[in-house]
Amino acid sequence: MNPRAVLVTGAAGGIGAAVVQAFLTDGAEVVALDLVAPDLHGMPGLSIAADLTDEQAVAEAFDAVAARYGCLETIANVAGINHRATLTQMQLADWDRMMDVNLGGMFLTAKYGIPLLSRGIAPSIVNMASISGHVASDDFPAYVTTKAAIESFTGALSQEAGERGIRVNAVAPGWVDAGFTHAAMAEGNAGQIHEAASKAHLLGRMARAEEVANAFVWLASPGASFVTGQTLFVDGGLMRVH
Amino acid sequence: MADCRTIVVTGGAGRIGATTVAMAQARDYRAVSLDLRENPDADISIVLDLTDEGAVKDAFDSIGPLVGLVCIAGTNVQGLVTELPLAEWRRVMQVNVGHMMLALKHGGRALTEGAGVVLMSSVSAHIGTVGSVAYHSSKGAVLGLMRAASGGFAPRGIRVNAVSPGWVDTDFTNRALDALPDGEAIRLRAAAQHIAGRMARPNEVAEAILFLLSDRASFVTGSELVVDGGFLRKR
Repeated sequence: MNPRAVLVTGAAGGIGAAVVQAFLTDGAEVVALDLVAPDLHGMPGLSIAADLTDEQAVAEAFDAVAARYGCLETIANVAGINHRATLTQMQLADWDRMMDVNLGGMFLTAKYGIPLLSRGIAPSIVNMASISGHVASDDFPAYVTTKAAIESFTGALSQEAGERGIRVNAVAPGWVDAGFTHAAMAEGNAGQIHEAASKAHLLGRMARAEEVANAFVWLASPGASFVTGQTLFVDGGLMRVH
Repeated sequence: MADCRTIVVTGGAGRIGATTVAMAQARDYRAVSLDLRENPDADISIVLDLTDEGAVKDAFDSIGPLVGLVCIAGTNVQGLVTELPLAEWRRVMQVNVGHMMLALKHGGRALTEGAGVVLMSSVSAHIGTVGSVAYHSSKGAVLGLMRAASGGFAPRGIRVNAVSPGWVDTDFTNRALDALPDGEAIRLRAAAQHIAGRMARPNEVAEAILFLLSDRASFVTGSELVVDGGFLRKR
């Protein structure tokens, strides 16, 4: 029997590494993709360095997956970047880069990954959205825009990919206690931001990266066989606070 | 020790409820069914009218600590707004929403730290079909109840979420379709209305319920998990 292959983008980041670990624990083999080849710590799989804005690089990454596995069960699109700038101060190149990485990267993994997913047994795509797609954040309008777009992309792709039996869903976390959030906090008063972020959630804390990863694994599992086109909020109730 | 893993399922004798009971038992939960009818396969089956507050209170008082509460019981009635008797409207509200409030009121105290609550909503909360005004309204109300309750229970680490199925292949669905003049045509159309090309199987709804109850969903609260095979996306 072929191993169940799962491709994870942004696999070197805090949440990405947790997603990799969660799929490994679930018995999958992981194709870990990031700008710098992620460390698989000796686990079977593939580690690939690729820039998700480079179509040729993405195409070659999937060629490598095809050569190794011949098919894919899951694509977990975790990769994303952030950029702090108000709209009036934003450089167009920075805006374009946010769109290219956060949204364009998912488009390209779908474009080159769907033929491999089509050969899977119960294939699916899980995209990283965010509560930022629903709650404005003054300093990060480009991020907010890309994250809202990812949910629309997920809905649109669920139709096209659904014709090939591929489910497509999104996970929308609140604040996650991981490197991505730490980087944003480092630009401000970390203590204050940490306290505000914790208060923002009904559960009184940020999410652990594993809690976000668990949602990826469940949405990709056979148990979610009738879930498609949806966003699962893993936000500790943040969206319900007002 | 067994008491530490007890869950209550309202509507536990219906198709989705009984499936949830069976799948929970397979995962080492002790499952209690509360329903108008008996579920002989549940660890405990209490036959009661879920709109009777005294009966609901007595039931929860007899069960003990809970790690999960799943409210599935629901009913349906056909009728245009201009023709629906008020009593019918009230009955749908009492069964579909009121029983969940009573279960949270009297079962809430028994929920242990870290427990999960799952309320059954429906894609009907997001769409409207002529002649099912009470059902649509009640399922929207369930989402409001879920969001409101998620805040109240959060300080005790108890999570409250909803599952919203599309069409599920059950007796409930068949009865609803049989009651419609064009039921057979709707049945044929139903499969095509889902990206998945079919209705949900009851176990697919139960899987979502059990995921939300589990520790794997430890940061999921106040959320609606739609299990509709792409029904809402396909309109």
